[in-house]
Amino acid sequence: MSQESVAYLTPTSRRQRAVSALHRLWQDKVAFFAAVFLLIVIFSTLAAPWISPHDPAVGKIGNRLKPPAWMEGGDPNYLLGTDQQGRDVLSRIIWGGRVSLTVGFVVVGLAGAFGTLVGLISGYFGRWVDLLIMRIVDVQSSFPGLLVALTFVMVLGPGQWNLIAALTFNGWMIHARMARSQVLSMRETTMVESARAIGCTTSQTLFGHILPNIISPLITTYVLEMAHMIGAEATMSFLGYGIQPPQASWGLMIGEGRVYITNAWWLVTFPGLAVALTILSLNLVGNWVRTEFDPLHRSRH
Amino acid sequence: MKVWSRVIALLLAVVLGISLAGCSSGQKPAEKPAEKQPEAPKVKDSITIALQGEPTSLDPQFPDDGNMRAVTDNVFEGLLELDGQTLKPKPALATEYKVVNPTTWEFKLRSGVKFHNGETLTADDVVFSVTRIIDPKFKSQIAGNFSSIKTAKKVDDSTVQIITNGPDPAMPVRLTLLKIMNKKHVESVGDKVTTQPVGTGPYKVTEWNRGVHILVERFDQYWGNKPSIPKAKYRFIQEGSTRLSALKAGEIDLAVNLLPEYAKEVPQVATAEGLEFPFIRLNHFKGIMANKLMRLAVNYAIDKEAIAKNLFGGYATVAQGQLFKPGYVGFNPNLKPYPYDPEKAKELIKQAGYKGEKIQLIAERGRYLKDGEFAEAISMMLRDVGLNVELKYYDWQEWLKTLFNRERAPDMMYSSHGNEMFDADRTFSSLVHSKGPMSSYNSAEVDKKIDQARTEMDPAKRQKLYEEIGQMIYDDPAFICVVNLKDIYGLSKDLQWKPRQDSRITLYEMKLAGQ
Repeated sequence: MSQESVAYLTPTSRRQRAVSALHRLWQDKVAFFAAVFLLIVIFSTLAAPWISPHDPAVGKIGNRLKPPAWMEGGDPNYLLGTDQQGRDVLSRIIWGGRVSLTVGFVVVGLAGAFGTLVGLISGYFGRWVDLLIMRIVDVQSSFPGLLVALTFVMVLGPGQWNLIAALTFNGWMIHARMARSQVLSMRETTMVESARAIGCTTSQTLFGHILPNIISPLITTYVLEMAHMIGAEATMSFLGYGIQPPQASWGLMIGEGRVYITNAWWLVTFPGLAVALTILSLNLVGNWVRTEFDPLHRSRH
Repeated sequence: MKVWSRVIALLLAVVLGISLAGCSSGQKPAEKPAEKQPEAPKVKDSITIALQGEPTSLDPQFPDDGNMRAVTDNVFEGLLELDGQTLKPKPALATEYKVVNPTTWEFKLRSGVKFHNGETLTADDVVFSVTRIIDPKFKSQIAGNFSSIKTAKKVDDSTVQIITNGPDPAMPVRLTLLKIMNKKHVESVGDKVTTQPVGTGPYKVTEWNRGVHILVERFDQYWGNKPSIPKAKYRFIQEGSTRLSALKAGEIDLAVNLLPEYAKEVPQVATAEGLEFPFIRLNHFKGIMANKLMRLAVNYAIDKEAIAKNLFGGYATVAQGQLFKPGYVGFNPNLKPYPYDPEKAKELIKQAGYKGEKIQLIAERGRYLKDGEFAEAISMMLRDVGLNVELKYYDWQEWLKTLFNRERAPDMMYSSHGNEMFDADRTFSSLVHSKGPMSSYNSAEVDKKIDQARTEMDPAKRQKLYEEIGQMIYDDPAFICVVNLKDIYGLSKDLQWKPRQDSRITLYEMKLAGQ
């Protein structure tokens, strides 16, 4: 064995791999800035109670519809202006991001875990199990997602947790399909065969051998689905069936500010930018993750 | 060779054909202006009005629907009508009336009034219309306005008597809301009465293209003054911002219900004191707000001036401690709005022994001007004085169910009240009387006075009773009375119209400049 192939397994070289991954991220400038933007969003939402200049739910009606600070009539206390209730737009964007990211993470966490598990089972056992599960997935996917979510929320009543339930109910199918297709190709490999041969239990084979080997394409799906779910949250809140006032959410801000678009553009523009940039960044980072995890794809670039 | 020549001939034919077609299509636009030019100097003979929604029906006796009234107020008439500025009833289809005895009113009908189908108005039509709307089987949504009417009877072809259950001093105003239909038409068309309206008004409906528009045209045999505008089209544009841009683009001539923020942008803005009083109904029956001190506290906690000035951009006036304005029967001139005094509110809350319990505020949004924002502003001010207010928006149907069911009454409820009879009885009977359909107030003493006033035929005594009731529900508050909204209309440059106090959209009072 040569020196290099041994070093491949040592911790030092793992660090090297991480460094070289970061290096490749730096080379892919678009993905790099997307990742930086996401980090800023994540940081600001985590630190919302400390960094937001005002209480997002409290405003003075006398201060309503003040333009951003740099415009004529703007107030330096309200950097991005105030909304129709006299609340600070910047603070609401920061707190609204918290809602969006919470919904995104929780939904992808729940839907991803459930969907992946179902997909693993479906792909591994095949035959009638596979048939049954995939038909359920097909049936559920054939309903328009937004409609199902709207019905769900109308029955349960609007609110953050009901919205999460609705989106999770709607979002697990793609993970199941994804995991199943990966398992199908993995199931027949000699690795799985030998794992079975040495007496691994089903769950050992599934979680110890198959899952680690298919996780990278799944992670790409998680990241992309997160963008999708943040968009769905914004849509539902925009329609008034998501986050309820006085809580802030980007979609809700756009929905409430919509009527003032002709004379108070900042109500819609800034939360709109926040949604658009976050979703774009997640997609870009998702793409980068895909190339990073897929060496074949990477070598082509 | 022959084949080739054929191909060439065919090609030539095609080319010639195309060029000819090109010529003729090229000529068309040239012809059009030539045809149109003589018409150009003529003033346009039609206007377009944008309503917020499509009428549910054009049977003016059935739904309680403002979008419908915007059309039917020009198509149908009552025995009496309201003067748009003074709010006093004046003759319409009846030329005169007298009180025969406290429960019998006699009306003389105008002669020579024609319906749009050519029929002449007779006493039979009036009797038919009155008995139709009060028929419990018909289930009219506005039957509540006419609950005091027992029956109507024909005296002769041009005289009708209306018999009431008890004395009803508000009868003339009630009758301004009761539209007279053509008996023969209604009986012959059956269900189509909702889409084929036949009235006596200055305009007749010529077309209703569902989801697109309603067209009306001047009725040539109208008995009264001939309206200035020959034709009109009603369009339905739900979004305020879309109505605004349609108006700015010249697609429409009149846009109803604009946001105050839009007033600066429209070619011409017209406003009038409107009917609507957005207010908060307090639960006097049960729960935390049953405590009088709490109800007083919330009245002190609301900055009504700020809501009128900022939220409604000055297109609202602070309500005078009641849901009436001067001119209404029953307006109490002694009441003043509760001053904005958060310190006093906090003190009262403390006295009431409030310990941070959750207080519900139920509202809806999208139906009235800035309803959602109004409720949010109120909840914010209440939170400022330390109340743990939970604001919830219900959808329209759910909100209505909550409004009309006392068992479900929340601690506080947003609603908007418009009294198109300008008579205190309507407000008190429905919102204050403990048996009123939308009431969450419970006082035997107030109930007694409301019942008494309803049948008091002496206007001075009746006014005094209403002033007393007004004072009682002010001292032991039934509501947070906040503001009275103005109606904001956007008009195109050449449209002339003075909006009315009763919020009716009277096409027959409009004019185009240059006519």
